[in-house]
Amino acid sequence: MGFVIEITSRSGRVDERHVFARPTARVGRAYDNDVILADPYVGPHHLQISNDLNGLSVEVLDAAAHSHKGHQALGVGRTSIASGSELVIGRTHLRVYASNHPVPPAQAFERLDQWITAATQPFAVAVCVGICLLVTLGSAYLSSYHTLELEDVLLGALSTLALAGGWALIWSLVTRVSRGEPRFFQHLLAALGYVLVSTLFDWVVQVAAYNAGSVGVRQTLNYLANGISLALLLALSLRIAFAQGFWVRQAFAHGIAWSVVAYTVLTTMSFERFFESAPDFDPTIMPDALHVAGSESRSAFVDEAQALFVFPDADTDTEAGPNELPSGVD
Amino acid sequence: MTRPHLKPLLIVLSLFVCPPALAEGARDLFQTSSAQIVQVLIIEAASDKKAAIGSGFHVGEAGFIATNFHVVSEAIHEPQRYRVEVLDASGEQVAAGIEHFDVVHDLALLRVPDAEAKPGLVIAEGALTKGETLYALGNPFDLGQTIVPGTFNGLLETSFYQKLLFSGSLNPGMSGGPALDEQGRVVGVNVATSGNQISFLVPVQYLQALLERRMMGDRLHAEGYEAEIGRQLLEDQEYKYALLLNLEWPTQTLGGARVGGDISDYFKCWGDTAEDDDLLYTLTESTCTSQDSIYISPRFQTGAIDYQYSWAESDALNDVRFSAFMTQAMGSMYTRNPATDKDVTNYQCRQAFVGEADSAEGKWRSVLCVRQYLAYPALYDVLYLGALVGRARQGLSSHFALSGVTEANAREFLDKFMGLQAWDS
Repeated sequence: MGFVIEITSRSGRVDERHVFARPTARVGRAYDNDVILADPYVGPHHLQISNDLNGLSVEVLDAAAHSHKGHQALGVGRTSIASGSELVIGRTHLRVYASNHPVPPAQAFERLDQWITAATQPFAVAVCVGICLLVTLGSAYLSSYHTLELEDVLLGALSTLALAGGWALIWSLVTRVSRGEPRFFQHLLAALGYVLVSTLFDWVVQVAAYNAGSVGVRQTLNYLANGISLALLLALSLRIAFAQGFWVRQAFAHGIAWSVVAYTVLTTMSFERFFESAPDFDPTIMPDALHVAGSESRSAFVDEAQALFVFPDADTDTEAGPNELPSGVD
Repeated sequence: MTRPHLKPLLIVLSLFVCPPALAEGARDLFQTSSAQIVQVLIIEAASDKKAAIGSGFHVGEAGFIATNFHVVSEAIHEPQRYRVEVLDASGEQVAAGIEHFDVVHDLALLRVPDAEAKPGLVIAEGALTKGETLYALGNPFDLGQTIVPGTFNGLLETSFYQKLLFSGSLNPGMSGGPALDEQGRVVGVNVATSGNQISFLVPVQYLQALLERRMMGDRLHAEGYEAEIGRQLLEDQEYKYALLLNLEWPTQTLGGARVGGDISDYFKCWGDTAEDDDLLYTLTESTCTSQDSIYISPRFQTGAIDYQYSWAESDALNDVRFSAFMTQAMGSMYTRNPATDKDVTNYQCRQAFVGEADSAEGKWRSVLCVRQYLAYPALYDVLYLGALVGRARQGLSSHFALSGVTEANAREFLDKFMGLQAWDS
């Protein structure tokens, strides 16, 4: 009865797979073993794995060498193991399967993965880069009231694209380590998406702030918009960088992304307001067509101003107010 | 044989030679008056060294020494940290107390406790004549007593607080010293300079009023200084705003809008238009500023009133880009009061759309910001900024900044100011 020995990384990625049709195989550093390991902590003839009528078993041959099954230390002698058990000998991780070990059905691609895969075709990536360039240029044009030098605007847009490329490059290195392939274009796509979403959010926030007429609203919307777009980028990058299928990894990816964003938003919003010699207000002006909020009359504005003259937290350090007689007059 | 090239040289040389009569007058005045002039020193208690200097002079018969408020302001605000001493012509340096002050006109009265009343300089009566020779005395740069001749060039008309224009050189350290006429009578108190022989004196009637107030028994103690400053500021702004708000404010056209004109002679108004081939817009600005501010401390000056209008239009920018320009034009507002968190609160602001686009007054994006004075809580700095919106590629921004104003006066000013402006249809 045959069996399979997988040599895996600590995270469980399969590095080598050895298939045996015979009932036993010996593992160790010596060259007469069936599986030869280069781990100095492994004995010359470390253990023997069998799959016979009694089922899968492991027999430790070298008493001095380190052998574990899960958290259980294995002594000299034979121990039965289940198919799929993980063993650690020396510093090498092994997984042992019986030949008839059931294999789960093939995993379907999630829709997002399908989209990402489809969009990372060279033509689609080029189109995305073009759209991103156009949106960045358009936004710079609409935000400017000077004569635009094409050279400067292009330089600005290309800098943004270079930043997106830098982000993709760093993440593709991470992905290369974790998954064995860089997936550069997928990361580039994620970064370009971030540029588009944050540019769009910026305009939406401007229109909302113009109508709301409040610095607080604008700041909150800005934090939210930046937070959400950054969280989406981080979640997407982590999802691309690490293998899917395990809910722990999903939670890990989203957990990191949203924790970072929540931390950023909370710390930014909880900043103590320091003294400012100039007032903090929102100066945004937009075309009148984008004004949907209501207006008030001049008299209402003057009346409402009354509330501004109330300073509940003012640290007024004089005991006698200016309307009172000075205490030092005699 | 004439030498025409020497003529300009002789003219220039003659400028450096005092006329004999002027030199004689200065010499005689200095001899008769120098005993009444003192140097005022602000001594920092911990180091026992001088932290600031100025000048002063004995005035009247009751032993008072007159100087500027700003000379002794540190001792007024922090009497535990600073004390006032006076150094007379004989070299004797003694402690002096602050008896009273007029913060608005920058005057203070000192007296040396338990000292024998010393006859002081006499205050002049009657009006001065333009062109009259005056002599300013004081201790410039701690270099010893100095007399500086100059000319009276009239009253500063464009000011809420009258000042004498003295065409002579006042230098740091001479503040608080007297300006005398040829008879040796006090006609003003040295207070400020704009350089190039443009100097200012406090008219003597304010000193006279302060002396009379003190003679009637009104004397201040250290614990009442801040309250008295607050009372004087409040009284002054009531006077000033009553004057302004009762005036009929004229209007004028600026671009396509109607705006406020020159409210009164107390403001100096300037205008400019940014119009360049490289610019995609035209921006016409009109700025009016009051000429006065009241010195409270080196970091706290109040009393200024400024207002500004900016008309912008463009054929080259589309609506969105023109809005970006208006956003930049709305970008900042500030007062001339350089106060810090020791003096004022942070600003509280309110923004709103005011009016309707299809009305004659138009629709305004308005911002009002207010901060309170910590030591004088009935007074505020108030800033307003409004943008007239609703028309394609045309807009007006208007702004005012009031320093040291009460809520009632600020709101009345706001209402009147906003009521002036509209599209000029």
